[in-house]
Amino acid sequence: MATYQLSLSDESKERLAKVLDYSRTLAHYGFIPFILYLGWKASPTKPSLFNLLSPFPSA
Amino acid sequence: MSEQQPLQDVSKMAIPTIPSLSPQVPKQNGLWSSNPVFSYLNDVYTNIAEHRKSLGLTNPGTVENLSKEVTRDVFANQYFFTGLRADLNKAFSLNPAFQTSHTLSIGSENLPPYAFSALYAKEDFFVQGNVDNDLSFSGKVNYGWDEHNISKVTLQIAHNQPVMCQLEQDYQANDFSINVKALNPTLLNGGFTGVAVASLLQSFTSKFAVGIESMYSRQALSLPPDSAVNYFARYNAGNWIATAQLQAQGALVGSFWRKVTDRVEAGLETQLVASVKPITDSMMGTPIGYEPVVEGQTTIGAKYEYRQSVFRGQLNSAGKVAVFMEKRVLPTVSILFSGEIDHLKNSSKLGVGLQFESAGNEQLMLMQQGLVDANGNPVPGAPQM
Repeated sequence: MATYQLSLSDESKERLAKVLDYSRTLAHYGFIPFILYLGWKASPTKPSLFNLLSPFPSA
Repeated sequence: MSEQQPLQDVSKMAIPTIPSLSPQVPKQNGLWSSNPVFSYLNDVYTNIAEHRKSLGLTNPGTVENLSKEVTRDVFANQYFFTGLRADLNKAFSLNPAFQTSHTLSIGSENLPPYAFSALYAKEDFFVQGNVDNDLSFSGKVNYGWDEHNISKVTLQIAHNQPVMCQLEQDYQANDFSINVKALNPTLLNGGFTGVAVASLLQSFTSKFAVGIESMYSRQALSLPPDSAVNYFARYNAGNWIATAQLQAQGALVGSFWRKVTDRVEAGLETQLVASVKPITDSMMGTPIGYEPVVEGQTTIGAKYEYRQSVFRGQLNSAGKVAVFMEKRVLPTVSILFSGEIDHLKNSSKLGVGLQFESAGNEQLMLMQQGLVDANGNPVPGAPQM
């Protein structure tokens, strides 16, 4: 059976694992702030961070 | 270079393939479309495309949404919860939609005590994220390249657990849909590992569609790969829909949906599962053989939609009765109730929830209370402030 081997040196494999680990952390902690930023930019009254995070009406 | 010149000139000439036919359909004069072979193929393709257009087929939806009307719209399973819960939704803008939500819950089997979620949606772009008190995160990004193509990415990250990442591409043409997805695909371990699924749903008449889905999965290179093929059929007659699925594990699932009146929908789903189970020795507990088992289960449900409330009720052949109720008591407050009684096991589950809608700015708040419309004009008949 033909196996499609990705020939990488151990060093670059290690580097790739590190990059994947960093991107995992970035997605874990950066995703929600990113959505909040997109929404903050789009909403007409730029709400403060406290207003964004508090569940109570802020009008 | 001089030898190539005549060839280019020939390729630029429009050579009629069927001389008797005139006027000629204007064609691109490249070598690819003007040589006899490709010209013939193009004609065949155009004929088929025109014939398909003349059949008046419509897009059949996707394989994922095959029995959506029954399993997601009518049945309460998706909405069911236990314990006490409160949802505090806060909208900041409507177009593009931006909303945050805090969910608190006590005594629930599957809901975390606290979860925060944020949603941002535009016409062609949708992003949603959810994080709970354990910092377990799930996120979803959809992007529509045009009206036919949608790319989707789903991520799930929790501490001390492997990351789940699903990449998905939807292509919805005029009379068929193709969906390709991959779950945790990687080539780094020396070969492909992960799950890959491809599906096709094709309309044959304006009501009838047939689909096929094939799946290939390999958890690790040391394990043998798995593959499976599922078949689907769907008949949509406007006010009723019937679907059938034949799954590779040996399950046959049929569903039927009907719009009874304007506000009432009814659904039925029946499953037949044929599997092979090991027989164990009753004394020793050691396996002594295998027996084929056929199991069946049928669920019937109805959904009533009123102006301020939605009721869902269902009953299945295993003796479970479940209801889910959603009632709007104020323009910004709704009550949720879900209950289930298992008559065979003599057990029951109960869930009660409150849902609050609040706003991040004044105009949205007035809109939520039904005082102004989307353009900021006062609603006629609304109480004056």
